Amino acid sequence: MPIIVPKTTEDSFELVPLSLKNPTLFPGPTNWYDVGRFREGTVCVRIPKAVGSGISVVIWAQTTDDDPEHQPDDTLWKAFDLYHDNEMKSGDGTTRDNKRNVVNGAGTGSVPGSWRAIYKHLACRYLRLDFNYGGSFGGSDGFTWGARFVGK
Amino acid sequence: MFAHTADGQGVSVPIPSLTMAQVCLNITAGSGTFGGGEGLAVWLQGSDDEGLTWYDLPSDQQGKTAASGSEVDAALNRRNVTGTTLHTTTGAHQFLALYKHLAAKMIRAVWDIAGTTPSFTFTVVLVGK
Repeated sequence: MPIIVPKTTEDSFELVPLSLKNPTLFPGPTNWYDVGRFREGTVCVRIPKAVGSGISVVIWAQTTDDDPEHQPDDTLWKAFDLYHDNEMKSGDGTTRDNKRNVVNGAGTGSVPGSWRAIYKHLACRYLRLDFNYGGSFGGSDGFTWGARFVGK
Repeated sequence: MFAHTADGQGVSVPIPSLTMAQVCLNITAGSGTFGGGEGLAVWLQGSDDEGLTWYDLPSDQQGKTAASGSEVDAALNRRNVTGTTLHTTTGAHQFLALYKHLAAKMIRAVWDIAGTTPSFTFTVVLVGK
């Protein structure tokens, strides 16, 4: 899995493109992204559509203590869960503070929706998203979701 | 990556330009028999006098990496990277602690190990800005 390093002029980039995802189409974590130049960041997830019944998805950010010189094969990089300062789903009006999940279980009843979590002290160099699907997915079932990172 | 069987500390590292950091504790193996108050504890210390005197540093957020989708709350203002309870389980485990304001001249990792024939194989890596 390649490491995608954003151009130095970009302060916002796509972590994962908006598309239909399910355990077959998108079974593992996203690529690693170099966020070394940012001191704070926001992960924004949008889920415009869900197809299926009784399915759910949980999405969270991870970092690593590895680096290209220490471990060139990034498939072997060790992942550590990141904790946000607060997360809010648009329209909910309340925050969830100091937790792991950016999307804490979205189902067909909670989409379309958009979630954002802020990391006020982004000490890490690399970031990716991991996720977990729940329920039974039929062949064309899944969530259409994508995510972006905004750093400063 | 070494197997540790007793209390110890890592090397002292000057951090003149770091203002925040995360500590990544990667435990790859553990063994032994542990009673109450026994196990592995790992934490960060800072020094204000070139390593003569050391002070325990609490993290702002601390947690354990989990494969499950179940929500995990970060523990706030804890000393141990291993959490509030001592680590006593075998297998691979990853812990992360975030220090939002690291106002120390030098830092080092410290660990306590107690139990019957205890052994833990781990690394402690600091990533900072």
